[in-house]
Amino acid sequence: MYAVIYIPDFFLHSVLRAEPALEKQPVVLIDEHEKKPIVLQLTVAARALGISEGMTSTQALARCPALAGQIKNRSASQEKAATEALLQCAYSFSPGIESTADGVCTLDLAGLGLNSGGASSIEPETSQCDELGNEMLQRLALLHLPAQVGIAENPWLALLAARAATPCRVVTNSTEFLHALPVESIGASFETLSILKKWGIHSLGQFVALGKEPLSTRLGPEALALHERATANSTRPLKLIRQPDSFHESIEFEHEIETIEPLLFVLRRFLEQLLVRLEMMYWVAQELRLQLRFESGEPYDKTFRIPAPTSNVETLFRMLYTHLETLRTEHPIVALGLSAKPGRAINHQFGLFESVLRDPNHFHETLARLTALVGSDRVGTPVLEESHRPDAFRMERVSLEELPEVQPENPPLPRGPALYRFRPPVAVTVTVADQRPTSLESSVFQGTIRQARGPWRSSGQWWDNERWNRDEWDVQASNGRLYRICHQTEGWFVEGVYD
Amino acid sequence: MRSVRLDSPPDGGPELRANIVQLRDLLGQRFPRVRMTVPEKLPARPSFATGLPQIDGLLQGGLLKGAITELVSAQGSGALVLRRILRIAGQNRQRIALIDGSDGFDPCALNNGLMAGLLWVRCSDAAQALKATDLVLRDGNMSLVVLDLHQNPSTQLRKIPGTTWYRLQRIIEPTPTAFLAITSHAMVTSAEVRLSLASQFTLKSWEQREDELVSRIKFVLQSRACGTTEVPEPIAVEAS
Repeated sequence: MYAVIYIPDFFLHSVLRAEPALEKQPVVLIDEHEKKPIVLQLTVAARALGISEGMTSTQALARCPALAGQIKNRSASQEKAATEALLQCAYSFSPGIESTADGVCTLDLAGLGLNSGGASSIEPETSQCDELGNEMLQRLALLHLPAQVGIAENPWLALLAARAATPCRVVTNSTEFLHALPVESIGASFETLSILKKWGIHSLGQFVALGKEPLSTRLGPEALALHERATANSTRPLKLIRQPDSFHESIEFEHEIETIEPLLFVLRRFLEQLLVRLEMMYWVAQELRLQLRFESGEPYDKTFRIPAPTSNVETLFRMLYTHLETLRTEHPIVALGLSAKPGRAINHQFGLFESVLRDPNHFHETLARLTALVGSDRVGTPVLEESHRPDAFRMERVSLEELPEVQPENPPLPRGPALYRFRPPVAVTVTVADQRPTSLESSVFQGTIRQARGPWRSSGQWWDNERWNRDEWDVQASNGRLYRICHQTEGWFVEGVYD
Repeated sequence: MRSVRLDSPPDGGPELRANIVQLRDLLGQRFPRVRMTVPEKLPARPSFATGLPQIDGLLQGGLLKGAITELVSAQGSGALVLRRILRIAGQNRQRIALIDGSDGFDPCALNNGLMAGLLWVRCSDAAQALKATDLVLRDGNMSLVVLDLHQNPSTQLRKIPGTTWYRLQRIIEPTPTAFLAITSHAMVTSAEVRLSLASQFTLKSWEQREDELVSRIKFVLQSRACGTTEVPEPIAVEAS
């Protein structure tokens, strides 16, 4: 058994996927690259207003002035995205798929367990086929692709069934089905078709009744092939293809985008579409890539690595929103593209000690917000440098992975109270007597020093411009508090208070 | 609708008790899901064990999750307690957020392995620290969030509206996160527990290790309001 998914007016629906609300409004599709653009495809509402294929856009506007903003242009990128979505949807039903034509996909249903109509029957049960066809339609509706599905014993018959379907047709009696079809549906050449019309042949039933040999004698070898098709005897192998592994949606805006709201509106729709496509393949998003093109022609490309691959729209949209919120551009946006890299979902079992983040994606977003608040160099995990220079550390990104095992403490615990640093150190005037500090005068403290320990001399990096050399003192001031002061080339400083 | 007489003699008596029973029955019928009796013992609330015997002992397990604990360090030793908490949490591979109100934390006394799960937010002032705290508390991924304001100037602390603390309390209530605010004076109006530190160091303190010093710090449990916003009179309980 074979199934054919047929999307009427495929080029038009490829464009309308980004704006599904326009499906019920009068909209026509033209190709601006043509010398004289004509209406290629149109919606039912437009046809009801008297517009038809082949009219120029001026003629269409004369018939329907409300069409002014609804003349859409063909978009190769949107057609490609729609084709990929169609094939991915088809692949979610059967591994044997063929991209037959634009908006037409043929599926080989062999091995799907449809031949269970009865113990003695090898024919599939009609209700099962109907169910399968309706499920295909439902999934395609999620992708905003209004389709027709035909299921029959060979690809050709399934295609005819799909074209005649409203919206799903399962052919059980091929002879009866074919005989009722108009003769045009057989795909004959214009000359052959005009001869048949002159003979008064209007249906395939009348055509088959003429007989195979008389037809070939009078109309030649073409009629022989047509007769094979009309009797549903011809079959063909499918040109099987691999499932498309690209998940990309894009749009070129008719009007430039200057504010974030319309951009977010389209972006969310794209994200929903991509996630539906990923879910059909049992994938989740591992990476998102946002591409913008500005009016100046300058591109903008940003990749979002998702800490915990997910298919949650809200989480991913928040990630995009947080980034776009802070994005400032000099030129308006004329094109938008969004791609998703598929990945497998990661599951964690939470333990007694929560070394794994509960919601890494939320945490990633929180980090982005904290970075926006305090700056990128002031958020993260401190990592100590391999240096004896005081306060030598750098900030690194917080690990989103499970925390490593901590080795038992080999070095002894530090002695004395903890230092609370002043960053930068506070300049201080120090009175020295007998090579020991005796009083301080600074914004932190003014007064005499009761006790002092030191000096602790240290130096380093004498081989480059970063050289340092200092004498450190731990002092107890007359107010009872403990301070660390140091003497460097630049003078005396209070480095912090012991607390 | 049945009517209930609530006018009763001021000294109570059988009539009053009968009215109360009648009222309780009526409320029980009207709101069947509401518990009408108070259990003898409330279930233990989840807590974050700091590993410091004084704190865990006073608070019967550790810092309460979903509540604010204020640690008042008026005379010092706040930074030492903080470092000790971070060290123990690091050994237990727990994720801690430290919102540093005046960028004074010194990481050099810890090692990289102990700080692997530490999110350090280095703020420039108290207002920025509170904004950062808001974000981190909403995140809910951290076991413990520490807001260190104990070295911020009082001019900054005075500008914090009292409602801010109630807002933070509302944020943290439904989360499994413990929140410790280290301040120089009692200022967190919505704190469920307030501990104050009483200790001062001298130059002789350098003869003692970190754990020995911490064990000598006096922790005083000042208030504990269970389920109400009313702060009872301070209870003088000393550890160590």
